Parts: sequence; structure tokens; C-alpha cells
Amino acid sequence: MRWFGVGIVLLALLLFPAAAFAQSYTSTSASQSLDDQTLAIANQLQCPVCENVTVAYSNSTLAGQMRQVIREKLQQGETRDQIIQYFVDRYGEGILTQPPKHGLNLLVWLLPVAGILAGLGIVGSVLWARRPASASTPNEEPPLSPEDERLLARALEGAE
Amino acid sequence: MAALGSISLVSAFVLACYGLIASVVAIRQKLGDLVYSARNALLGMFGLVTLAGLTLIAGFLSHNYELQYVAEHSSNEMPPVYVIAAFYSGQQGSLLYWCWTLAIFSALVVWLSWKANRALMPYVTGVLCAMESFFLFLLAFIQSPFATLPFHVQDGNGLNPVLQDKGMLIHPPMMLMGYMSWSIPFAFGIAALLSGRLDFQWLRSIRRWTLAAFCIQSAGLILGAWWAYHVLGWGGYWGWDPVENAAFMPWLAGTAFLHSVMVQERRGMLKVWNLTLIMLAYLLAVFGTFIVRSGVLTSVHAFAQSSIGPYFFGWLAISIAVSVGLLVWRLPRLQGDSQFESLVSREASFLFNNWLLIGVIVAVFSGTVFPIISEAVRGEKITVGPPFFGAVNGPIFLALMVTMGIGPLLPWRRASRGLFVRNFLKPLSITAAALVLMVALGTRNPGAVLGYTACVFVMATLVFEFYRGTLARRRVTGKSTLAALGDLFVHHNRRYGGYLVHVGLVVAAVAIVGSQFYQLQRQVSLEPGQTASIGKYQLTFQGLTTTKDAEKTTTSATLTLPDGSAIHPGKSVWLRDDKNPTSEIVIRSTPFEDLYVVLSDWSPDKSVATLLLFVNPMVTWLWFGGIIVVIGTFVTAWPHQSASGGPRTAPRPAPAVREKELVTA
Repeated sequence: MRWFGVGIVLLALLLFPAAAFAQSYTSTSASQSLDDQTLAIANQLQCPVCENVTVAYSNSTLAGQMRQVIREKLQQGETRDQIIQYFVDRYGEGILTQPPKHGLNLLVWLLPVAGILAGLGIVGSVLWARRPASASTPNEEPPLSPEDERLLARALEGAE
Repeated sequence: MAALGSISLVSAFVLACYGLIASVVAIRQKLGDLVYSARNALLGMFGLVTLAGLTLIAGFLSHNYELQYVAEHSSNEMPPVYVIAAFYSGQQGSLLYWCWTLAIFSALVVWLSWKANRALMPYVTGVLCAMESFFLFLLAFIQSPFATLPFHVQDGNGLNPVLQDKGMLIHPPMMLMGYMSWSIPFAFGIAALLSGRLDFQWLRSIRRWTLAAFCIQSAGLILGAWWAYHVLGWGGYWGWDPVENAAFMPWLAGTAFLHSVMVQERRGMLKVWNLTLIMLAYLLAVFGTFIVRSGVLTSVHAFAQSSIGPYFFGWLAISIAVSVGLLVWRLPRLQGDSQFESLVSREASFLFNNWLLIGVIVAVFSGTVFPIISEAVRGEKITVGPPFFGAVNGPIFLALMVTMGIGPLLPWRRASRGLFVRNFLKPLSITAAALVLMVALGTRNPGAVLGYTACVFVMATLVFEFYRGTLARRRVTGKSTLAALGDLFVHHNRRYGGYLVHVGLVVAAVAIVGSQFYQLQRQVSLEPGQTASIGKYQLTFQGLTTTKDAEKTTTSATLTLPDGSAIHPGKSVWLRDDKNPTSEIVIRSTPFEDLYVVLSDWSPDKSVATLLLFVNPMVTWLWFGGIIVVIGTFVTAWPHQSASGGPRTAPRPAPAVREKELVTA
């Protein structure tokens, strides 16, 4: 049962953070001040004059002004979607951090899926296509027992 | 000085061309002497490129503003150490850096690998010379770092402020060298195809070169993450920026190769596939350089963009054409020696690993190039940001983790049911216990639960592997447990070094899952005396102060914590570049979380400061994970003890017998 001890130590090590976050982190995110709402919206918008930084984190003057606009619009009672639409109307879809799912944009979502499926097809065909072949040519040697198999594998590793 | 640099580059170009032609003629006419002549040309080229590199460094150190490159990238008051960063901060310099490091690696290849690969080396020499001639052509005739200014200047433009950071001294050279280092395995691959010597020798020769590339690029990626985290001020370390993606893709392809090549070594399968992967790694590295340097995509790193885009595109096209052409030509000689026998086997698990890694490449590639496609087709440039990459790659990373746990425990050829149960029962029960405990303790986020469960599973399998190996070793050698564990790294360094890399990746994964799902962020506007809280931290704003020095004006906020300590996040506006202020971020690291504070804005009268507050869980683990990966790679690449000199000193029992006693015991 020595492995059990090792396992417990391991568990404690890996789970401590997970459990700790679960306790402390779910409660605080509920409070949504004006500042936090501004941050959330600014984080959905790409800074138009910088490279790969959202409006929330950009140091540029324009981003600062945009944060101010978001804050004023929130104070005037506009919703998150209205504010985002306001910026899309002015700057185009490029200002969104991810492409809206319509038209040509769907391609960017479909390509990885298509790639993964194509890959699965290839892997599958390599694995399956060859299995009958190996089954049809009978093994010269009788199959090894699992124990021997393991010994052999380990021995080969050791022989490197 | 300009003349010296230019002449050495042009002469190096001539030597590279000569080396290429001499190699071709020597191979066709079977002229042994000419092979050595080509080799000497390559070594001479290395000397000349080194001379050019040193000349540019001398130009920086002596503030020789006659050189346009020096004038554009340095200034009189710049600290001398940043000359290193200035060297590669622009287009010409980074090209020269790439060319120089490739020349160094080429010389090392010729020096270290010549004897073992006599038949292959004329081809390798030719390919390396061809690669160098491309870069030297660009450097000598298109984008010379030794171009001179027609007028006299007193002071240079200085270095981009974002680059004036310690991280910049090491991250970009690592990254560029990482790109470059995939050239060596690629050159061997091309040489093997050209010569038809497609046996194991070329694979054996490139193992260390591939591991070196993996190691350098892993270090480059982790240093890049570190730099972004400490300098850019958006609370994160990885933004799926096109430049990051460009560096990530060759790493993925190389990682896939390092795994699948074991299938070829062991079972003689996947020959075409392995060649494809090693070519892919190189082509993605060239592609990465192309998109970074051509300005096709703009990004945080787009410091230097100019007219070399078409040349890189041409070089990429030629490389693809040559790679594909050679593969197709040699296809009849690349048949596998054996066949897959089972879905549940080591080789099948490597195949799954490859499938997933390629899946990540496809996802990252499409997300990176899609804005270009969209701009070309619709005329509208859209943004593909982190949410896309996270959504697509998250599940693949999860599957990769699971594969990483399963693969090492599966035997080659096929696994029996009994073996499968025996190897997986304990890790799986630990994983199940962890899952139950985690949910019972209140973890609810599905991504975090799945991610941490996968981490526990992989870690459990790894610990058992180490545990079993140590016990076995202890029984055989009679050494203490610790010495036996150390023995694993010495005598089975390939295997256990690899496991160490996996340990590093799990540690990094713990950091990524933690910071991904449990990051807290807030924006607060405070007047002096007001307090903001985030997580368990409470920050009281005391006021703003402004300081000036020769280069910049820095505004800092003073914030006090309940324990009486104070932090001073600030923002600097640089005299040379007042449009792009830099952030002076404050990071308080603890083993389990970082407090990360950025001064965002302040009111004109300085009565109100707006701050971005983050609590980033587990980020410290990412740096440790990266260090473990690098150490593990070193262990794996370290020459095997018995390989150093002739037969093993002490006779050892036959492996099967030795292993038998420990397994049955």
C-alpha cells in the first residue's frame, strides 16, 4: 500500500490550489461596480491603434478615451450590447476580439474542426487499414504472454 | 567599418554559393577533394559572418552613426548592455543574427557530425550552404545592416522603450535561434532524401539537434511569456498574438516529431510521416519569420517591417516545393518495415499525440492567417483573439494531457487487457479520488475540474513510473532509494529525461488551468485614502508622484497594504516616443498566486487614479514548469554513459533476467 501514500501526497499537492480557489474565488466576482463593468466591456474590444491589446489594457490615448466613453455610456444606462454595437458601427467588426459567427467568419471556426476530423480520418485509416493485413499474415511466433511482453518492453528500454 | 561589414557579407555570400555548387559537383562527379573544399567554404563562411556580426557590435559600441542601422536603433545615452538588444531589434540585425547563428550551428554540425555521417555530409553541407546563401543574399544586397547614412548625425534614434528591459536581452535571441535551429534537422532530412540513405543513421544524427531546437524554442517561448507578463501589463503571459503563434507552431511540429520518431526507431514505421514533420517544423519556422518580418500581420512585435516579404515568400515556396518533390520522389523507398497491430499500443498513442499536436497547429494556423484571408476576400480585417484560440485549443490540450498520461504506460505493439489494468488501476483510482475530492471541496468550473483531473492523472502515472523504476534499480544495484532514483537519470536518461519534460508540462498546465479559470481582475478608480479590495488583498491609495530623468517621465501611484508595505505601480512616458508609454507593473508573487497591479489612468489634476488589479493564481508554477522542461530536455539529450567509450565497464546481467527479478519480486 505504499503507492497509496505517494498518491495522497500527490493529491494534496495538486489539489490544494484547486480547492483553495474554489473557496475564495467564486464569491468576489459577483460585485460589479461601474469600473468593473467598464473593464469587462473594454476587454471585448481590440484597441484600434495598437497591436493585439484590448482597449482595457492599452496605454494609448485613444484607448483611454474609449474607456471614458464606455464609462459614460454605462452611466447613461446603456447596455453592454448597445455599447459594443456602438463601437462596431464606428470601427467595424475588426474591433471585436473574436469574429462574430456569421458569413465568412464561420470558416475560422470550421477549419480547425475540419482539420481535426481529417486528422482523425487519416489516423483511423492508418490504424484500421493495416490491422486486417497483419491479421491475415499469421504471426511466425506465438504471441507473447502479457508478462513476457512487459519484460521485453522494459528490457528494450533498458538496452537503449 | 561599413565597408568591412559589407565586404564580409558579400564574400560570405560568394563562399556559400561556392559551397553549394561544389557540393553538387562533388556529389555528381564523386570528387572527394571537392567535398572537403565545400566544407572549407562553409567554415570560411562561418568566419566571415562572424566578422560581420562583430563589426556590427563594434559599430554599436562606438556609436558609429554613419551606419543607418546603428543610428536607428541606438543612442548616446543608451546603457551599453542594451547594445545586445539593439543588435536584433530591427530587420537587418535580426536577419544577420539568424544568419550568424545558423553559421555557428552549421560549423558545429560539420565539426561534430562529420565522422559519423561521411556519406551524408556532402549533401548536408550543400543544403546548409543553400540556406545560408539565401540569408546572405538578403543581407548583402537587399537589407544590409551596413547601409550608410548620407549625412552626419549627432545622436541616434534610440531603442524602442518596450525593448529596454532585461527580458529583451535573452528572449528574442532565444526565439530567433529557436526558429533557426529547426534548419539543422531539416538539412539532414533533405540530405537523407537526396542521397537515398534513409536508414537510421540520419535519424540518430539529428536526435540531439532536434532536442536542441526543442530546448531552445521551449526556453524562448517561456521567456517570451515571462517578458509579456512582466512588461506588457495586461495581466497575462500568453495573448495568442500572431508572433507568439508563429513561434508556437514549429515547436508543436518538432514536439510531434520527437515522439513519432521513436516509432520509426523502434518499429521502422512512419518514415514518410517523420520526414513530413521535420520539414513542417522548418517550414513553419520560415513561415513564422515571414509573417513576423513581412508585415503581413501586425502585432505587438511588429517592430520591424519592410520589403523582404516577397523574398521570404519565395524561399518558403521553394522550400515547400523541394520538400514535397523529394518526398514524392523517394516514396517507394519509404515503406514501413512493420505494421500497426493494435489501437492500444505505444505506437498508436504516439499517433494520437501527433494527431492532436497537428490539430493544434491547424487551429493556430487558421486563426493566425484568417485575418489576412478576411481582408483579402471581404476587405474587412477582423480580429481573431484569445477567446477563439482558447475555445478551440482547450479541448485539444486536455486530450493531449490524457494521451501524455496513457502513452508511456502502454507497451509497444499491443497491450494485453491484464497489463492495461495493472498499469492503470492505481493511477486511475487516484485520479477518481482526486476528482471526487475536488468536487466535494467546491470546485465547480468544468474546465478547471477537467484540467486538474487530467493533471492529477498524468502526474500519478509519472510518479508510478519513477517509483517502479527506482524500486527496480534499488533492487538490482542495492543502492539507496535516492541513488537509485538518480541512476534512472544517468542510465536511462532518454526515458526518464522525457518523463521529466512531462513533469514540467504538468506543472505548467497546473499554472495555466489555475490562471485561466481563476484569475480575478478589477478596475478601480480611487481618491487618496480610498481602499480597493481584490481577493484577499486590500490596497489603499495614498497619492501620485512624478519623477523625471533624461529619458522619461514616470508617474507612480503609492498604494499601501494592511501589513504596512507599499507598492508603486507607474507609467512612463518616453521623450523619444511619447505616444507609447510603458507600464511599471508591480507583481507580488507567492507560490500560489500573484498580485498584479497596473496604473492605468489618472485624472488631469491627479486626484483620482484608475488601477487595474489582478490576482493571477499559480503563475509562478509556469516558470518552474518551463525550467523543468528545459532541464528534462538536457537530461534526455545528455550522452548516454555507455555511448562515451567502447564497451560498458562492468558486465551487467542480461536485461531480461535483471528485469524479470524485479518485476516478479
